[in-house]
Amino acid sequence: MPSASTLKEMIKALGRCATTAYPFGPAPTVLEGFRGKIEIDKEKCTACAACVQSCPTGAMSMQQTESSKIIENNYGKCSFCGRCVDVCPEDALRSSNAFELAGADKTMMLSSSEASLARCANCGGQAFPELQLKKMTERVLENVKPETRGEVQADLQKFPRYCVDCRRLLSYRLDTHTQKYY
Amino acid sequence: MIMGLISWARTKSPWIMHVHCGGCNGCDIEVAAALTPRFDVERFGFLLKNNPRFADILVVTGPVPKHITPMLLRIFNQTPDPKIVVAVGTCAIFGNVFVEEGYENYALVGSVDKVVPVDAYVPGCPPKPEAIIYGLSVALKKLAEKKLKAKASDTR
Repeated sequence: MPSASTLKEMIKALGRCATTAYPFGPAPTVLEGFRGKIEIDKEKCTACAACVQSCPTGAMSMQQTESSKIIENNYGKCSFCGRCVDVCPEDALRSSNAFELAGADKTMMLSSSEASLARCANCGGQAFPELQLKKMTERVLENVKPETRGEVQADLQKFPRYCVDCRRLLSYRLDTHTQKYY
Repeated sequence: MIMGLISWARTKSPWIMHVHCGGCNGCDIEVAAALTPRFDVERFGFLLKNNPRFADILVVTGPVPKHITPMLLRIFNQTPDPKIVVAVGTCAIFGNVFVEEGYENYALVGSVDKVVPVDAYVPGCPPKPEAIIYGLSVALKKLAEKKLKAKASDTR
């Protein structure tokens, strides 16, 4: 003879069906905070490759061609840890609720985002992606002291399209070196 | 007509065998969860068997260490012929954190499809039981296709 509490549980369970309705209905266990397939917002992504640095499994990868940087997400390699979402400075990555990712071909599990690169005006090499340059300029101007903001902005406009090496090379000729701030 | 009947019966009751190839047991627990009454793949006729000679579908989990490969090949060869291999989990697909480009692991093969041909891939670390149910439905479609091909070769 079962005890009173067990009997109570049994009577409670009589009207319910324990099995979820999943293939014929919605999945009940997709809760808030569930980390599914990573989605890239192509308009926000600046191809800074912070996600590539933080990815433990190599699901995020970057390919660089002559005119563009391509961030690729292979969700077949992804362990859905969400580190790339945490680390993304532009909030371009998002964990979606998608879990129905199974397929017959593993080479199709790709999504990508492309950012076009600007040419260096001095040497003709690769400069930063244009969107990244714009965002970085905005961020620098936000964080700099109000009294030096005008000067910094004038300096930034002197070399919008130079690569890192050319900026260093030309800093004294263009009068953008940091010594003058001291 | 008999072949059609056999084909119908097989897709309505595909028996699966779970092959554990060196994973962390996360995927194995999720496969077990998919068989429990809460998620209940047995509604669709799936039945877990512990003998490859009875099975239609092999559910393989884990990044496949090298010392497991002869056993995996033997299990694959013992399975009767219209057979389907489902790779469950990111380890079974690309090797997850254990295998990375440029950092080859001496103990691991890295993925199931380097050892046996795989018909359906279920990504996730571990995949939800619902994801496994979805992956098995993909595998069932493949099984039906394989049946049709076997039927065509038999009539010739």
